[in-house]
Amino acid sequence: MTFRRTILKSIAGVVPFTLLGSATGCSQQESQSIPAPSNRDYFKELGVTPFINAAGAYSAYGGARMRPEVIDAMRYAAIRKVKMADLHTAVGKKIAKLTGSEAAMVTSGATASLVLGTAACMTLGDEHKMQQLPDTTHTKNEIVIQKKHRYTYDRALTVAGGKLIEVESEQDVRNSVNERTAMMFFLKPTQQGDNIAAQNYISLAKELGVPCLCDAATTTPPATNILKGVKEGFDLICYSGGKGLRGPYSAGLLLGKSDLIRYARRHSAPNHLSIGRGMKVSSEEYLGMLIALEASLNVSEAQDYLYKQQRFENIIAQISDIPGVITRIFESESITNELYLDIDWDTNLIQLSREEFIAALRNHSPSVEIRLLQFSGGRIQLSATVMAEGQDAIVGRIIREVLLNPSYQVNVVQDQ
Amino acid sequence: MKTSRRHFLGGFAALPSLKYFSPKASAQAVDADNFRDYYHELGVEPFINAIGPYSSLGGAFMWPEVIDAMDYAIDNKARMIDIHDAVGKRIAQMLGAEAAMVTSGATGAIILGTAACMTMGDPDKNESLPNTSDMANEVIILRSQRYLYDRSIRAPGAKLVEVEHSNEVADAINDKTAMLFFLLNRPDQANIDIQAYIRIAKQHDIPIMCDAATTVPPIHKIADTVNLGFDLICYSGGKGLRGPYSAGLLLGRKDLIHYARQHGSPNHRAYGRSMKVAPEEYLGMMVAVETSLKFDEEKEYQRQLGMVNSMGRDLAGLAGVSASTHVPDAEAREPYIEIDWDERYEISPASVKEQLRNGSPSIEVRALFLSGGKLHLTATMLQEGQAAIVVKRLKQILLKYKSTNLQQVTEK
Repeated sequence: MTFRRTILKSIAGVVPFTLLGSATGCSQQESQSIPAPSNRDYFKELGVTPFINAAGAYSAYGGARMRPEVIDAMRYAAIRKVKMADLHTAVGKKIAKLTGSEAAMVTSGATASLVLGTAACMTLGDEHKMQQLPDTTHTKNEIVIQKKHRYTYDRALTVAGGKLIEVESEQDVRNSVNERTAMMFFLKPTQQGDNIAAQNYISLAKELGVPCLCDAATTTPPATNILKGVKEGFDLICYSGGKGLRGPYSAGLLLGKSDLIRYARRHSAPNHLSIGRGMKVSSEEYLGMLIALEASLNVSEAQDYLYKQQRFENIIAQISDIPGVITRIFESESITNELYLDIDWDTNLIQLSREEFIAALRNHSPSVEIRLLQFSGGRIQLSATVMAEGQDAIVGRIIREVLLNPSYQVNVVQDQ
Repeated sequence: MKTSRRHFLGGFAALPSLKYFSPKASAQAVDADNFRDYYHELGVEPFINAIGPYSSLGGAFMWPEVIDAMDYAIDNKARMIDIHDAVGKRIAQMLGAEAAMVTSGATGAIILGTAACMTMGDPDKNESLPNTSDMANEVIILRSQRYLYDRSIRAPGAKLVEVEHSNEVADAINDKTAMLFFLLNRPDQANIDIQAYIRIAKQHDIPIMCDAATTVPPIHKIADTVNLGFDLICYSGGKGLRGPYSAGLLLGRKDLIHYARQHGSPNHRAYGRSMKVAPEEYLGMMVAVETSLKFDEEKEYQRQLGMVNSMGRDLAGLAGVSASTHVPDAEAREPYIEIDWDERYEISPASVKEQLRNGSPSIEVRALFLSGGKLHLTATMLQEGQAAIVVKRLKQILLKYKSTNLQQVTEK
C-alpha cells in the first residue's frame, strides 16, 4: 500500500518550489539541490513497532486508512493558504448541502463535536457566558441523558461544564426539565437499547423547547446513514471523521441547526477566547473532511463489502484445514454494515486461551492486533476495515503459525 | 480546469520546476483534467499574507521534511501510545528537556499543562475536571501578563489569581495554589526577575508553567528557555517551527508530562480527549523540531530583512511616506517595516488595512493595537512576486487619498 510513493512524487515534487523555493528565497538553481524525498524509516529510527490492524479503526490504533482522495485534498491544502474563516464557511456550507442538514462544521473529532455542541446549547451565543465556561454559575448546564445512554464518551458532555441528569422515562424527562436544562442528549446505537425511542425523545425535546443533540459517531459506514440521521430531526448530530468516513484522524463533523452551529463555531479555534481553542483543525483536515464525506457518499457499498469479504476469505483459506478451527464471516447487526470474521477453536485440540492467542499475535513480528469482545463471552473477532491489500495473507499465515504451535506461542508470550 | 490550475500555481511560485518531477508525477501534474482545484470549487479566495503565520490565516508553511514524515505516518500505522512514547523521548532529547509531548497546539499545551498541575495524576481528580472544587485550582499570574490566551488556563477549571509584582507571589501562595504562570517575552518583562519568580515556585514546591508559544525563531531560544528551569513550557508547532498547524509542544518535568498525557487523547475519558493529535501530526512535529534545529536561520533572517527593506525603500519613494525597519526584541525574530505617512494622505492605517483586505487579491497586513495602530509588513509568509503586489496596492491606496490641498501642506 503505497500512498506514500504517489504522494511523495507529487507533493515532494511541488513543495520545494512552492514552500522552500519562495520561503527561503532560493533561486531555481538552489531549488535543484533540495534533496529528493527521504526514504527514512521513521518508526525504525524511533524503535516503534508497526503493526497490522485487524481490530478496527480505533483512535488508539491510529484510526482508519484515509481515502486516497482525502490525502490528495490534504496535500492540496498543505501548500495553499486561505483564511480559515473563509474555509470554514465554504466547507461548512458544502457539507450541509451534502448531508441535507441546515448547517455544518468540521471539528477535531466526534468528542470535540460533543463538547462544542454542548457548549453551544448551554450558552446560545451569549458572549459573556461563552467566556465564563466552564464556570456555569449564570449559565444553563443540565444535560438530560437516558440511563441506558450512559457511556464512556459522556465525559465529553461535562468538559464545558455540563452536569448530567439521568432519566428513564418520558415522565422523568418532564420532571427533570427546568430553567437550568441546556440540552437533551441521545446516543445511537446503544448496547442496552433506549427507554425512550429517538422519535419520542425528539418530540419531547421540541415540546419542552430544549435542543436535542445526538452522538452518532459510530453509525458509519455506510455514509448514507448520515443522511438518515439528519432527517430524524435532532438539533445537532455528531460524527467521527477518522473512522467510518475514512477522513483525517483528528477530524469530525457537527451537523445541525444554523444558529447552534454558529454558536459552536464561536466556541472553537481559531477564536482566541473560546473554550475550544485547543481543539484546532488544520486547513488540511478541514478540506480533507469534506472530501472524505463526498467520497464516502459516492463509494460503492457493494465494492467495499467485497473488499472486506475477500480479505477474510484469504485468511480463512490459510487456516480452515486446521482441525478444530471454526471461522465465520458475518455482518454486524448494528446500524453499520461492518463485516467481521469470528475465529474460534476447540480448546481440546488446540490448547490456547483466547487471551494467549491475542498476546501471541501482538508479540509476533510483524505484530497483529485483533479484537476480543468482552461482552460476547470473549469472542475473537477480526475487522478488515483498516487492513490493506496483502496484509490479509500475512495475518492468515501468522494465525496459522500460532494455532499450529500453541505451546511454543504460550512460552514466547510468557517470556516477554 | 486548466485555467484555474495555472492561475493558482502561478500565484504561488514558479512551476517550471515541473521538469524535476518524477516522470509519473509530472504526468499527473500536467494532466489538467485530474487536477481538482478545491478552493476554486468552494469559492475560497487565495490571499497575500504580509502579516505572519497567524492561526486564523492557516499558520506557516510546513517544512517539506515535515510533509515527508506525515506521508510516512499515513502509510505506516503504529499504536498511538508507542508513537507518543518514542516521539516524546526524541523531542525531549533534542531540546534538552526532561520529557516532552506533542499537543494539538500551544493552547492544547496550556490546557493540558494546567490540568496536570491541578490533578497531579489523581484519577478521581482527572475524572472530575473541570469541576475543581476538591483540588488545588488557583493559578497565579502577573497582572501585566494577562493576555488573550489566559482564557485557556481557565478552560479545565482553574481560577486566575492576579498579583501586581513578583514580590507579591509568595504571599498569594496557599493550599489551593496549583501553578504559577509565566508568559515569556513580552515587552513588559524587563522589570520582572524571571529567576526570582522561578525560585519562589521552587521554594514553595509549586509547578511553574511558561507560555513561550511565540518565541521562535530562533530555535536555539528553546534550549535557553528550558535551561531557565520552568517545570513546563508551551510552544506553538505550526508557526515558527513550521510544523503541522494543529500541533504544539509541551516540554518539562517527567512527572508532569506523564500527568498531562493522562488528560490527552486517545484516552477515552480524558478531559482533553477532544484535542486529538493525528499520528501524522505527532511525527511531523518531531521532524519540524529536527529540521528547525538544522536550518540556517541567519540566512532566512537576512532574506526577510532584504525583502522588507526593499519594500520600505519602494514605499518611501512616495513623498510624505516613511518606512523604518524593526526587529522585535520580544517574540519571534521576524523583521518588519513600519509604514508611516503624514497629513498629505487622508487615510488612517486601519482603513488602509481594510482596503487591502477587501481588494483583490486580498492582502493581510498588521495594524493592531500591538503595532500602536501603525501599519506593519512582514515577509515571513510572502511568496515570490507578492512583495511587489503589496507595495503597488499600498501606493495606489495612499495616492487615492492624497490630499487635494497638497500644495498648501507642502508650503507650510
